[in-house]
Amino acid sequence: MKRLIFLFIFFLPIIASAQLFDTEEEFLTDDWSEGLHIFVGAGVNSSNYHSNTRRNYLGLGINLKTDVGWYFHHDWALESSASVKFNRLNGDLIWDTLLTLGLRYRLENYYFRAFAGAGVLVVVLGKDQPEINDNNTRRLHMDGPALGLGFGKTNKTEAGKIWFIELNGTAQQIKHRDDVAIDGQYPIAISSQSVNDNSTIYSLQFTIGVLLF
Amino acid sequence: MIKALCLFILITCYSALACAQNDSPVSGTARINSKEKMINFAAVYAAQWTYYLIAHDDEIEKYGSFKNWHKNSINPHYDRDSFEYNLIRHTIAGQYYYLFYRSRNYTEQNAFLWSVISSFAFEFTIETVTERPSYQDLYQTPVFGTVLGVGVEKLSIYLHDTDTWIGDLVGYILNPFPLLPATNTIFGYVVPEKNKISLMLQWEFE
Repeated sequence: MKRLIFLFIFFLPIIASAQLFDTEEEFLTDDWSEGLHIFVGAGVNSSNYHSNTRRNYLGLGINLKTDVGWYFHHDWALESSASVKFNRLNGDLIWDTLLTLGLRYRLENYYFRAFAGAGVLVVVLGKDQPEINDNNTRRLHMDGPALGLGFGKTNKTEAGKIWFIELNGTAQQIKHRDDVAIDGQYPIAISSQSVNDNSTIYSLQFTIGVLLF
Repeated sequence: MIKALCLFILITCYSALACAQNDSPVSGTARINSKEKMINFAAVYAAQWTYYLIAHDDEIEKYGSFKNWHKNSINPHYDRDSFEYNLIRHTIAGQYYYLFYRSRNYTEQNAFLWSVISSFAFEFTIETVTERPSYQDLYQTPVFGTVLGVGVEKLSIYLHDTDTWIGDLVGYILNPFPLLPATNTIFGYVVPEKNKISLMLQWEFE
């Protein structure tokens, strides 16, 4: 099922291909033009890790997001999104990617988003971690389902450029973990295990961005 | 790692902010006929195979097989690649796909769309020789590549507009595809030899 959902997400732009003719319609903050549009933005995130046995505040980090949307109505859009977040914990870099499919609904200049998909979280171990010497583990890769809600506001500059501010809240579970070593350029999973301790990452992301096209 | 991350973020932000609703002169509603689309796609596909066979020579020898090539293609997964591969190299590859299609008079949306198709072709029919298709790459290569490509295209146009030789030089280094003449046709030959089969592609320009 997961694969079918993700294949659908990634085939979305191709499905839209038959309609990619320039309608010459202008994208307005209170009247979306139909067709394919991409929003891109950057901002900050604040994240927490919870499990049955541990709680960690991952601190403030940066995040980048892209929304590839098929705007099929002046108020509605179907979108596939990627949100890439970076945080630090105890000298390790946490690189977290959420790949989601969602709906976007407009109300005047405001819009609301609901989305679900998967999160891929990578812990890049710092050089002072003992794991590197013990078993050559360089990174921990974890994945699991994710979902979120968000709202934002689109604005237009005097020059006619569309930009937005947005707040998203996400929750992502960790269901699987690989310890990864490196062989040349290739990553090798030296151990894999299911994660059953209710590990979840809760995150808030504030983003500012623009309409690319 | 941190330096690479900062550089990546800076370039991405620059591209996005500088190029909101790109209005470059290449924009337009030019219709590309089916034959041209196939030729352009084939040119990118041939370039992808060439790059892959040269750049991944060692890995192909170590992990590659015909069995992998067809078995992996139906088995996508979340890859375990590094930050450098997933966010930098794939973004740069996606940028070249986008810039190539833009240079053939595709609109921004259609250049993006064909970048998606080329990324799928690479993930599902080329890279499977050594590894499974990656969900992250399928999204990030065309999308992040388009974000970067929009910025690079606009920057190169700005540099050409300075009317200086250094501006032209850097402009063509950033985006060399406008140097390509218009596509006329492409030929392909399969040449069986004693211990191998060669594929020859010939791209003829107008």
